[in-house]
Amino acid sequence: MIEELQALEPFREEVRQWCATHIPKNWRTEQLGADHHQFATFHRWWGSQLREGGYFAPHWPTEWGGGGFSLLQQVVLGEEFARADAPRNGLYQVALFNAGPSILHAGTEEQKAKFLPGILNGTVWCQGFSEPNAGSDLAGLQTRAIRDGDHSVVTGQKVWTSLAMEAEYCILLVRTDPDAPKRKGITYLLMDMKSPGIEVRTIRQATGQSEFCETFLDEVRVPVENRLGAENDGWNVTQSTLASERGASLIELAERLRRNGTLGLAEATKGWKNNDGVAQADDPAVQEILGARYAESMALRQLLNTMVTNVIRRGGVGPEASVVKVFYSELLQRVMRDAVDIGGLQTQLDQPPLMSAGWESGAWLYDYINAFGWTIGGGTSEIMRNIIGERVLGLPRDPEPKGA
Amino acid sequence: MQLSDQERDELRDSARKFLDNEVSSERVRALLDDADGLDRTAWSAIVELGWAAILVPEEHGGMGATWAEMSIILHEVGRRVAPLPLLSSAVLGVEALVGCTSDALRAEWLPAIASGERILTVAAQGPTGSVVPSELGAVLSGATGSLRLNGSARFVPDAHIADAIVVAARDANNAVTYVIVERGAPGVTVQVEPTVDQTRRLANVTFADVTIADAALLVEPGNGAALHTRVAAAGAVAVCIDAVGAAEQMLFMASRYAVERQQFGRPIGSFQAVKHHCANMLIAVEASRASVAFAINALDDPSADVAEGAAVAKSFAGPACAEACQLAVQVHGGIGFTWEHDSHLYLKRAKLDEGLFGSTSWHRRRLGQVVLSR
Ligand SMILES: Cc1cc2nc3c(=O)[nH]c(=O)nc-3n(C[C@H](O)[C@H](O)[C@H](O)COP(=O)(O)OP(=O)(O)OC[C@H]3O[C@@H](n4cnc5c(N)ncnc54)[C@H](O)[C@@H]3O)c2cc1C
Repeated sequence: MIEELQALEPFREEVRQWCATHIPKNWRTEQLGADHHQFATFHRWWGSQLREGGYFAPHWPTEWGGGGFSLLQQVVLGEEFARADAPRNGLYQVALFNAGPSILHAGTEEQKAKFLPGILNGTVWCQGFSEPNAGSDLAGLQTRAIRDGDHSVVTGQKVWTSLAMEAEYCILLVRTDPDAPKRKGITYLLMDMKSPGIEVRTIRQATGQSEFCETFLDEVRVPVENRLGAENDGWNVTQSTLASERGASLIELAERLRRNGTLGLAEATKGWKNNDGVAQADDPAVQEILGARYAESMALRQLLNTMVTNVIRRGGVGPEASVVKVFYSELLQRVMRDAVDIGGLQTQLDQPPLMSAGWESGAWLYDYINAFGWTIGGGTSEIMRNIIGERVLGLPRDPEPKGA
Repeated sequence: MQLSDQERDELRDSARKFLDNEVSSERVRALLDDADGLDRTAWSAIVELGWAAILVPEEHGGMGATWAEMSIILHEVGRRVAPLPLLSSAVLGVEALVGCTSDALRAEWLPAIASGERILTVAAQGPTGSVVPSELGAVLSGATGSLRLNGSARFVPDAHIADAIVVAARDANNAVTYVIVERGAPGVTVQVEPTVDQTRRLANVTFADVTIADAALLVEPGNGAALHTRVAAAGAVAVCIDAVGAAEQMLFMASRYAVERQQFGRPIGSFQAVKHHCANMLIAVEASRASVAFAINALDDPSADVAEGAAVAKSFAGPACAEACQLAVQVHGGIGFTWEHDSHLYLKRAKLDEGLFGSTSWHRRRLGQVVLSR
């Protein structure tokens, strides 16, 4: 892979140039304490910048207006954006990495023509999968859809729907056959968030901010032409796309963690003193922790390289994506935990949140709390370990309750 | 000469087949109490296969291959906890000679190592196991022409069967010199110090006013710092590769056992506590493999910092692989605690790998200092 990466040096230079001229120098000050509106406005602007640069949907095929970048180009892009400390393109994650790829994969030509250009133009999407009683056991979801002519009528409740208050569309999982085994009775819908019957209430998170929501659905009518895949085949549609698009976006996240997390922490220790009045950077115990976390950051980077190489050679991400997900999220949590310990009480002082910084804002205790977004969201660490045990190591499944 | 991906896969397959057949658990066990602890039959065959020649340049009768190839063999050797002098002769000895400034020593030793005719080892650690120059126990004194070696080196792999020993010695100013001494030379004493890991032999080597001729110098006196860094890094990476091999095999054995062993009417692997132990072993093995890959690339890249690569591997893979072996014993329950079961051989091997060529805490601290100095 090293040789192939070397061939991309001119491309890397191009991206670096673009970053140097397009990333606003002051975004960290502008986004400090930004309210929701300022955050969304900034992101719509940043999205348009990325679009003009050709970096908005680098992973999409060119025939649908994407960058058509190879996986390695995406790797380079992620590395350079992390290096340049670009703001995170947070508002469009579901659109670009979940909705879009699912539509590309399972959508009809009409659906592609209807939705993909909008996504490229900045339509915000949210993901309505989880429910109060269906989290880890997602397939147990109960939101019902009943067919009425050429519409599905949807009633139920979704929860933890990130950015639902901003979203114009929602990828929605609903139960269409309550009598079938639970994975066989689910349908995948593309729901217009302006439809009557939708009520979105923001939920205040542990960090104090409100990025995710409860989404109540009361007889919401979704036209049948907005069903993705076949009726009752929604589970398969999600499975084929859930992990596959993560690889390249994780590379950027891992690089941000290495730079702003691990190396950022090292830099910060130079200004912090331990309880004996010695600079933390000079304390051998601190040096040892920094070395341990740095070694893990390098292991993560190499794990991702291996994953990318496997995708290129064999096509497709296997269950090793679960290894990467657990390793990344738990390392993120460890780095932030250590920062709070080493930085002392000053890291626990309240401060305005820095929006758009991803998981490394430098407000260490808030970052530590935010890291649960990764150890819980997108499949908890425990569920990832089940997947590794069962699908990689071939251990017997957990016995499920009868009738499940 | 570098192999293609396909050739590397073939090398791995053939190495695995050979070791599975020739260095079975019974063979390893038969040698646990053997004084030499060397599987001579397997060693002759291995030399025929060219494993001792991998890092030896072609002009000296070797394969002239890279660490990418060497690591494949070391990994498979770790997987079988095989008692073979690869670390000493094929890794440390070859690295010391390849990096030295004496053409004569290279011409004399490299072909003999490659052909297995002779075994060389390197004494790179001091009495506490440290590779830091000031902590080395072998002391070189006198001027060129009348150099003398005194003191001791410890934890020297295979010194008892080596024909000669390359010694990392310091002078009064802690400047490092590499010199070679015959094992039987006057003043050289080799004493094996048995370790709990019985699949390897480490020796305490003492030097009593040993005469060092100019021809025995691998570098100009006091100019061995770079060579020492390289050799110590190679040793550190080699033991990490060994540990990944050992941990991988334990993961395989433990997860197979978790499927077979039944309690409460179902396989123990269906209990989540056990399943997660196995998942954690897999995460440890894969992430260790990744950190070690970084170090291997560094050894093959002339512009890379090999000490940093080694520190990354030792900081992560060392403890992670030992922990994976620990979990494997736990998953096996009582049977895992028996002498009869192989688990303890692997756990002990991984623990020794973790300790050799610098402790985890030392490597982490050093890596932290590197990061801080950026
Ligand atoms: C920041 C954030 C953003 C999110 N955004 C979205 C979103 O946009 N759209 C969306 O649909 N969802 C979203 N989620 C929801 C997320 O996918 C769920 O929270 C997650 O799947 C866990 O479900 P749960 O919260 O119901 O916890 P539960 O499933 O109730 O889990 C509680 C605990 O039990 C453990 N547990 C459960 N089952 C098992 C098992 N079989 N074995 C072992 N342990 C088990 C879990 O690991 C966890 O520790 C988000 C979550 C977070 C934190």
